[in-house]
Amino acid sequence: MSKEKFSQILCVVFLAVFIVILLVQNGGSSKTGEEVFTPVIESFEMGELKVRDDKTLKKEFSFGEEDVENVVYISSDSIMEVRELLLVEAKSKDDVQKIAESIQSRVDSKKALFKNYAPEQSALLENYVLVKKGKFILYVVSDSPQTVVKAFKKAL
Amino acid sequence: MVFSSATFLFVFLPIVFAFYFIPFFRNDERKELKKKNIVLCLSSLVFYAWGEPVYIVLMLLSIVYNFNAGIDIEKNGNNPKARKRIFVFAILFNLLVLGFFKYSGFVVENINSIFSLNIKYEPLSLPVGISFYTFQVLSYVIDVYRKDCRAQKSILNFATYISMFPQLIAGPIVQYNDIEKALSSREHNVRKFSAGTLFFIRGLGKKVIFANTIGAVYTNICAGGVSSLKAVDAWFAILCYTLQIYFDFSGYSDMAVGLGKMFGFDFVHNFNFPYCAVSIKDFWSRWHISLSSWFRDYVYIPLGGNRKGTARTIFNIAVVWTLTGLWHGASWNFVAWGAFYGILLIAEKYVFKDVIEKIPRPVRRVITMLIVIIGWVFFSSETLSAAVEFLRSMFGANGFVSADTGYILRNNIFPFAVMSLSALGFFKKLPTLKNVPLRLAFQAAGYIVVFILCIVFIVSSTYNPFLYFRF
Repeated sequence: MSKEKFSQILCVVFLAVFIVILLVQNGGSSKTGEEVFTPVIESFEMGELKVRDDKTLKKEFSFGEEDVENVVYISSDSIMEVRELLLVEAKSKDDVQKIAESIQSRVDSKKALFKNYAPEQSALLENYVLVKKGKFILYVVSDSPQTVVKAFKKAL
Repeated sequence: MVFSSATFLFVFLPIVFAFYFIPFFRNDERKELKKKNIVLCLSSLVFYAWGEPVYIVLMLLSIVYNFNAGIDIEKNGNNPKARKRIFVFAILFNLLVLGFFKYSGFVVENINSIFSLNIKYEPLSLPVGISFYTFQVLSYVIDVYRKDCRAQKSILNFATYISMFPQLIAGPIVQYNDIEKALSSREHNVRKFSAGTLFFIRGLGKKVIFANTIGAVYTNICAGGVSSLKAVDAWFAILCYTLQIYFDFSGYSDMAVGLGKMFGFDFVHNFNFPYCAVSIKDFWSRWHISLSSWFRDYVYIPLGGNRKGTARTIFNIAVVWTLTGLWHGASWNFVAWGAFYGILLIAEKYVFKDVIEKIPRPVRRVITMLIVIIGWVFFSSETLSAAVEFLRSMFGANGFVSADTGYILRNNIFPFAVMSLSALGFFKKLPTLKNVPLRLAFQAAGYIVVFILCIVFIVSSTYNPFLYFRF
């Protein structure tokens, strides 16, 4: 066998292995949005907060229900309340980064808004958590964000 | 990494230039060119890995496979069966890789929809530039098989051709034949570098100042959803998109051509004032020229072109335009966009040919432009149904004027007018100064101002999408 032929076969084998690894890593979760969201919402201290509609979601994050597969957004009417929870199941993996960037840019502008004059809100915002896993995204600002993250990871 | 980012302009490019142009082997041109190719190849791999560290593996496998396939095809020159087998495998390898990463999700989605199945499949993210570099690789394999060129014996030169960062992720699609000589011998001089710099600045200006500005207008108008847009708003939005996509893509192509010149290459020019076209055929000889040429050389002509009768020509055009649509994206709106142009080109060739010739050129321009704008509706939409919604809005399904219409038009009409005139080549037709030194001084000052403005825009703006990256 010539070395060219051998190299071509080797490439095909490596490609197959590469694709298998990618597919395994990409597997993410086979659960539905509802299966993931329910335990996460239960782990979050709702208090006075409420589930928001599509209009509020669009206003706050520049994407709406039609842009994603599933979404739940919980926040307050009060401008001084920064505690909130956003759970998103994106339509595709390509959308995940875009949505995360949109969330990140909102967190940055909120942080800038409260900086220097609302220390309590600022501290909560500094401890925000943004996690991406497969097609799922969790964004939470709360007193104990790690509890929510734990529930999210367990639910996947 | 995109060309219009601060990281590229102020970190990546200066470092690459330093290693590329500082001579290591003053008395040995061959060694010096080899060093230049090593720098270009390695920097291209870094450039690619910047955003896609995982998919660099895919590119390296493609380089190694196709390099060996090319030599193997050539070595079997006297054995037609073996040559054909290696060639077919190489084509399959490249198309299957492209198909798997780009179209598998689309295929599964349609199978699920047609047969009411629920096949679970998590599509992988699309490797940036895969459509562009796959087409370049295919052009190489086909050229070697057809004996239009010799197989490349240096894997460094081959890797440089495939991975070259100026045209890696958004073209122009450089056919191997056009670049073969330059890989082993090319000229670097101040004149070429200066010309490249001017091209680059022009492209940067188109992208950063024009495309991003008008793109933001389009995004703002469509932010509330296209299905509820009033007719005037919808038309203005799609006109803005028409300008955005032209300046975005032609700007990026100009930057690619400019960078190519700086590194001693001459890439094909990808645009020639497409919005001045007088017919659809004319439009496609001016828009994304390298893609049209690729399909002409590697699909249309091998299928028989227009040499096998009317029915076969119509079939060939239909195949080419379905593939052109699919090349742009794994979605029915792109298939519809391709079919739209296929049907128009067939109609232009066989139905309206005589009528078109009788229409005055300015009217033909307007008609062509209207058709192109309608085409962009399919192109800009996420889905086919969204495109239909957009078209309905354009034709008054939600009324004609909104409370914001006057505000939108007043605020954006000036940049819109300037960009429209520029896209139509108006500024190119203005009389130039006869005094050469004065003209050069004005031109230099103009380019410096454009460059400074670009920097200001890049630093101050976060809106920097690049439309053709997703292909």
